[in-house]
Amino acid sequence: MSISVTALTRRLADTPKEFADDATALVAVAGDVLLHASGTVDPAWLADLDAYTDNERALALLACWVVFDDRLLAASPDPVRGIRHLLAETVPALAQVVRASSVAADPDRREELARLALRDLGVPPDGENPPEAADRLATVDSVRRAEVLRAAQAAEERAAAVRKAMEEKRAREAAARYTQV
Amino acid sequence: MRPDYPVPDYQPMAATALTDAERWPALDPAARARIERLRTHPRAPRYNHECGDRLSPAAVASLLDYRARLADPVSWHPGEPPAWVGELVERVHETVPRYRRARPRSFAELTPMTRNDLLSRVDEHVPDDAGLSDLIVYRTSGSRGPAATVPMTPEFCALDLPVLQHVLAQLGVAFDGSGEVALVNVYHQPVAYQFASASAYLGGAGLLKVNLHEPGWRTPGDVVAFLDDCAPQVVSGNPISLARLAELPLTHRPRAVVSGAMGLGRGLADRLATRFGCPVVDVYGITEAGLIAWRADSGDHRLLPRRLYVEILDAEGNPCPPGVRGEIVVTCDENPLLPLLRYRTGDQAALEERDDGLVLVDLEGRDPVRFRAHDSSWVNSIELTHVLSPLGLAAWQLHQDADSSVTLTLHQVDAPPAAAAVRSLLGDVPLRVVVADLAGDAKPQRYTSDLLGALVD
Repeated sequence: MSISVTALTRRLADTPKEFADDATALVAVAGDVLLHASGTVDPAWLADLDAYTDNERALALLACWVVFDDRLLAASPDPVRGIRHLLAETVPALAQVVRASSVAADPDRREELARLALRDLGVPPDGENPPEAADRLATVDSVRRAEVLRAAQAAEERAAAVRKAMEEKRAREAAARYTQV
Repeated sequence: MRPDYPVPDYQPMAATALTDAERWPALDPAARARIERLRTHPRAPRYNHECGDRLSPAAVASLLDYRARLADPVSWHPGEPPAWVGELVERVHETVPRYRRARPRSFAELTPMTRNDLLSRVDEHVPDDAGLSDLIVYRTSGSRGPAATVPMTPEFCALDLPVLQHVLAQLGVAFDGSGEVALVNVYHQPVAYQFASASAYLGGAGLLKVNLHEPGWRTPGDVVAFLDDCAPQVVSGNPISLARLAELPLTHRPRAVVSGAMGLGRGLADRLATRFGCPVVDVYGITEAGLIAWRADSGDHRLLPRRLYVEILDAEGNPCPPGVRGEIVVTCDENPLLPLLRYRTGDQAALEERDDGLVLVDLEGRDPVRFRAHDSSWVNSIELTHVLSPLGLAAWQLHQDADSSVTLTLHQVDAPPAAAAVRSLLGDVPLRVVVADLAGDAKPQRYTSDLLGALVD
């Protein structure tokens, strides 16, 4: 079964204020979502969420709201595994480059979070084959964009280091050559 | 500054940057004492530079392993890249910025590199995982266009030594560094560095770079006394400097003479062999890849069994069949700072497989220029090389103007047979013979023409 990306972005646009509240306990909400998805919950795994930064916590709450959807959970081949990956891996990486507040303000960020949730839960977006889904995620993928920028910056720094090393007088003193070419 | 020469002279020691400990990280006290003797020798030249081998003990050990591997013959056949080429292609696509963008399906689809790539964006050719702490640079000769700066490691720079040992061993010559000085690299040009050095790879034996031009010495006669006293096992140089060396009244006889940088004519090769009573080796190489091929007779140039793959490509970049001349294109995986993939050398030859290995046939390290004969037929420069090279000329240049008139420039001495040799091929064209000093250009462009269609490309 597939799920429409638009349905999830609309859901995010209508996030209840409890899921956007600084006072809401992430551990409790994530525990409810996992219990709802599988009937069991692992307190030790949940405890790790307590260490999240404010931004990670806020994004994780939005992610909980997206996946707290019976159709989505029913469509996922392994919802518990998908939710755990989303909360423990995807959200911390996303929090490095995206403010939780931008999800409310920016339609691209809502689409990004919706597509990441679908990917992690193994549910194809409505009307898209896997390469199309990967391609469209790439167009809104903040983590990947940040990685590309970081790689470009690292490449420029390396190129500058090479040029500097080649200009240095100690490089130009060189070493003896034994034949002429 | 010499008023008669357009290039400023080197300010003595102005280009040095290292301490002796950095120049020679692996030398023992005896070798350091040897350098000091060469530096303070009463007949020594006016040294204007310092240059070490910069070889660590690990680099010396690695070069010894390299020497042992040279015993293995060339293991590939024309048109069939060896396995290491595939590994190199894989590696550069992971680590070298230029190649990260597009991964070709096969080696043959790789766009060949040119010297222009090094001129415009050499940093994109240095692998990300290559250390920069012992990077050194050399400039190409600039004989085929603007000079490019080539990054390399000291170990790559020193590969010449095991390669020369390998070549000379095949001629029955032991190049082992026994004695005070292993090698003198001679130049004969208005401006050149001169220094005393030593090689940890050769057990701390001395190395010298000297300029035979008289202003480089304190007293006339010092050059002969110094070189006789140093008694180098091997003398290396280019045809111009070696021709000058042969005129000097040296009594020392080296074990071998090695000529590079430009084609060595047969006449001069024979003259050097007679004068010094030793084998004379003509080496072909480029700064970017090191030594590529050699010969010690009038035969073809034999490819060296290095981690070096050679192709011959036509002007469109298609492989030439064995025996057909085209541009020499090299792939070399020995410089950690500049892996070369399909690098266009600008030099021309055919590649052939013989019973005893691969050879470059009719090697011509210049542009493939044709000359228009009096009867309007084209004469390839290689044919002119064939008639001029037996005459024992140190160097020459031949230029054809747009009106078909030809100027033959000879280095320092007129040789009437040279004009006759040119006429033998070009017929009754207007011909002017000029005697000039060609020593200023380390690797002169031998053949040039202003005639439309003269450049075969």
